[in-house]
Amino acid sequence: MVYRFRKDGIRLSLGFVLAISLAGLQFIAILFVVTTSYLSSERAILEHARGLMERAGANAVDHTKRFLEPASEMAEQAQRVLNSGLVGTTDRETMERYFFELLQTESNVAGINYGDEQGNFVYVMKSDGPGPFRTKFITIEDGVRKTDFIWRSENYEVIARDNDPLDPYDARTRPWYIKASNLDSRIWTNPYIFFTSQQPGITVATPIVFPQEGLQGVVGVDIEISDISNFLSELRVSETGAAVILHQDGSVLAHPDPNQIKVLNEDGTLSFANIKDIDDPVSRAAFANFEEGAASNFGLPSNFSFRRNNYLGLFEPLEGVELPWTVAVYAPENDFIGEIKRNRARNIWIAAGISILTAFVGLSIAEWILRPVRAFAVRTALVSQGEVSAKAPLPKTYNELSKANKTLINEIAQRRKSEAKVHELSRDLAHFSRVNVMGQMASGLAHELSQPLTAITQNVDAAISTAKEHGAANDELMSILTELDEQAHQGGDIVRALRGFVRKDRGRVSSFNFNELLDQANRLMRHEAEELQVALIYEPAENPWVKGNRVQIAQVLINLIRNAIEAMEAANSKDRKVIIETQTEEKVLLVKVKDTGPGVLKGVRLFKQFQTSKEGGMGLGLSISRNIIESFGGRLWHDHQTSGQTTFCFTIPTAQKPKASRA
Amino acid sequence: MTTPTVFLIDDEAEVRTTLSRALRKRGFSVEAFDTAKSYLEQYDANRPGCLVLDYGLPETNGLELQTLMLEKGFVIPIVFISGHGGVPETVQAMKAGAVDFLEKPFRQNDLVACIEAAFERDHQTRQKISENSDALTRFQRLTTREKEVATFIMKHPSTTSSKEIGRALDISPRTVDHHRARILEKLEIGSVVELVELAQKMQL
Repeated sequence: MVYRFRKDGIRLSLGFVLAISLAGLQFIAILFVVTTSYLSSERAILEHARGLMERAGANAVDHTKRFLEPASEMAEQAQRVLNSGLVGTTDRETMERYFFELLQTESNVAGINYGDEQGNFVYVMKSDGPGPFRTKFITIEDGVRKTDFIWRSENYEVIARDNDPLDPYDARTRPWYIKASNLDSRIWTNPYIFFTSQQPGITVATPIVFPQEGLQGVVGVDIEISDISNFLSELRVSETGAAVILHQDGSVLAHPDPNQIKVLNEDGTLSFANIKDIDDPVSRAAFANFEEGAASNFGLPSNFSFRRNNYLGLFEPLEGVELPWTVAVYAPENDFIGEIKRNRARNIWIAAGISILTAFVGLSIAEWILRPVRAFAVRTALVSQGEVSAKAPLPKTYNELSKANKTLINEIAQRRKSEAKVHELSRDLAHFSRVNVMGQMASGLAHELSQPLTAITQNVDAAISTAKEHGAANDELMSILTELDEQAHQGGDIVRALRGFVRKDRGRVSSFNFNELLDQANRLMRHEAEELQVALIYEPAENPWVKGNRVQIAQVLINLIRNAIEAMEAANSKDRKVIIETQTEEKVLLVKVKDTGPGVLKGVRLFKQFQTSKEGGMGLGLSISRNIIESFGGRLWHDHQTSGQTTFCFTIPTAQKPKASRA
Repeated sequence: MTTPTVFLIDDEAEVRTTLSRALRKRGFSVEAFDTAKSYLEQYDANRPGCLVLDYGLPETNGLELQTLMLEKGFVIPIVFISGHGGVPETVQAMKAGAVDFLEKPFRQNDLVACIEAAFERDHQTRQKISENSDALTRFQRLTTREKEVATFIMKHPSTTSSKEIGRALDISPRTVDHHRARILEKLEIGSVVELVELAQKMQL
C-alpha cells in the first residue's frame, strides 16, 4: 500500500490564521462602531449647522432690511412733508434745516437731497470736514447757475462757506431722478459708489408731485451700504464661513472684506466688483452657477464643493424689499464636523493599533495552544519514519489528540499486520505456483508419454501375435520384438519415475475465514485489474469458515480471476467485470467466479492439460486448480448454464468457526 | 452361452486402436468406446464380459462411471488403466470393487490376466443371478396362503412347530402341515433348512 499525501495549496499555520482572524475581527468591530457613531453624529451636527446657517442667513436678511428701511421711511416722510407744503419746495433754508434734522436721526443715511424740474438742488450730507455736515445748493436764477457749499456743526452753526461756479452737477440727469420721475413712484437705484464719499451705496428716490402743478422734483435719500459689509464681517457663521450679498447683475454688494467689493476702473472711477472677478475663490465657487440677470437664482439650500472640501450653502432672496438682491451664507462642512472627522481618523488609528496588539496576543495564544500539538506532530512524524517507537511515552498533550493517536497507532498496526499477511500470501503463492507448475508439468508429460508407450507395447504384442499366426516367427524377429517391448517398458519406468516426482502434497490443512482470503486476493489482483479497466466485485457470504490449505485455495481463486481478466482483455470486451460470489451451502462453501467476457470457445477442452486458448499459456492452470480443489474434497467445474459469459464454480468443505478466533 | 466381450473405453484414439487390435489378435472379442456416455448408451446387461476403463476420461471420468454404474445396478467387472496412477484414485477404485488398476504402459500379460480374472468374476456373478432368478420363478408357483406361510418360515427360522406357526398366522396346525408339504413340493426342496437357504439367495 502506498500512502499518498495531497498537497493542495499553501497550508497556513494555525497560529497565523488565529492571529489574522482575531486582528481582523477586532478591526472590523471597532471600525463598525467608529463609522456608525461618526455617521450619526455627522448627521446631527450637519443638521445643527444647517440650523445655524439658516439663522445666520435670516439674520443677514433682517439686518439688511432694517438697514434699508429707515432710508425708505425717510424718503416717504420727506415726500409727505414736501407734498403737504409744510416745507415749501422753494423754501431752501427750511428745507436745508429739515434735511439736516432728518440726517441726524439716522446714522446710515449719508445724505438727503431734493432736485427740482428747474435744476435747483439742495443736498445735505455727512462730511469729513471741515464740519460734520455739508450743504450743497445749486440755484438757477434767470438762467444763471450758482453753486454754494456750507459746512455746519452738529448744532447747525456755520463753520465754513465756499462756492464753485464750475460745478457741472445737474440732478435732472441723474439716473435716480429720471427713473423716479418717469415711474412716478418711489424707486431704488442700483448700488453705486458715491461720488463724494467714494463709499458704496444706493439711493431711494421719491417724486414730489402737486395735484395741480404736476411733478415738482425728486427727493433722494442716499444710504451707505458699506456698513452692511461690516455687519457681514461680524456675522460669524462659523470659523471660516462667510455671508455675501449679491446683486442680480453679479455685483458684490457686501462682503466680509469691504475692500473686495470696489474696483478702480480705467477712467479713475470706482465700481462694484463682479462675483466672477472677486479675489475670493470660495465665493466664486459658491456662485459658480450664478447667471447674470436671472430673476431668482437660487433656492435654498445649495451645497457646493471647493478644493475637495464640502461647503454648506444657503441662498436667500431679499424678500419684502423690492431689491433684486440675494443673501448667500456658506461655510465649509469641516468647520462643523472637522473635529469629529479628526476624531474618526484618530479612532481608526487606535483600531489598527489594537488590532495589531490583538494579533500579537492571538499569535502568542496560538503558540501556547499549539505547543503540545506541535510536539505531538513531531513525534508522529518520527514514529512514521520509524525513528521512535510507537510505544514511547506520549508528550504532554490534549486528550483529544492522545485519543486520536491511540486510534491511529492501532489502525497502523492493524494495517501493517494485514499488509504483512497479503505479502506473505503473495510470496507463498509464487513459491507454491512454481512447485505446482513443475509438478503438473512432470505429471502432464508422464500422462502424455504413457499414451504412445502404451500404443507401442500394444503394437508389439499385436506384431508378435501376427508373426506367430503366420508361422513366420523366427528367433531374431521375436527377440527384436521382445526387446522393443522391453524398451517401451523401460520408457514406462522412466515415466513412472517422473510421476513419482509429483508430490501429492496437500500442505497444511487448516480452518480459515474465506472472506479474509477474498480480501487478500482482492488486494493482490487490484492493480492488475485496474490496469485493464476491470472492476472486481465481491459478494461475500456471512462467516464462511472453510477447511483446506489457504495458499493453494488462494491460488485457485487467483487463477480463476486472472483467467477472467485476461479473457476479457483478449476479447477486448467493453463492459469488464469479474464478480466473485460466495454462498454457504450444506457442508460446502460455493464460490462462483463470473465474468462479462466472451465465454468459453467451442472446442476447447477445459481442465485438459496443455490445452489452452491463451497466447503463451501452458494449459495447466485449470487442471492444477481442479487437482487442488479435489484434494481438499471439493469440486471445480465450468457452469454451462450461463450464456454470454463465463462462470467457474468450486466448492470447499466448510468448517466450524474456531472458538478462540474473533469473527 | 455367449462369449464374453472386452468393453474398452479410452479417449485416446491410438490407445483404443492398438489395444483392441492386440487383444483381438489374442482372441478376445473387443468393443471400443471413446467416452463413458457412448458406452452407457449401448449397455446391455445380458452381454457378459468386462470393462477395460481409462481413468482419465473427459467429462465423466473412470471413477465417476464406476460409481454411476453401481448406483444403477449395472454389474460388470472393471479393469482400470491409467496414465496418472495416483495412489488415492487406485485405492478408491479397488474399494469400489475394481478387478485391478494398471498403470500405462502395462505388460500385456498383466492385462490379459486381469481380463481373464474379470471374465471369471463376471461368469460367477451371472450364475448366481440366474440361480436366484430360478428360485424366484419357483416361488411364484405358490398360492397366496402358501407364500404367506413360506415367508413366515423364512423370516422366523427358529419357529419350527406347526402349532406355533398356526397360532401366529391364526390357522390350524393341520392346515400348516398341509401347506408346508405343498411348499416343499413346489419349490423342489427337501427340507425347511433348504427353504431358509433359498430365502437368503432371494434376499427376502
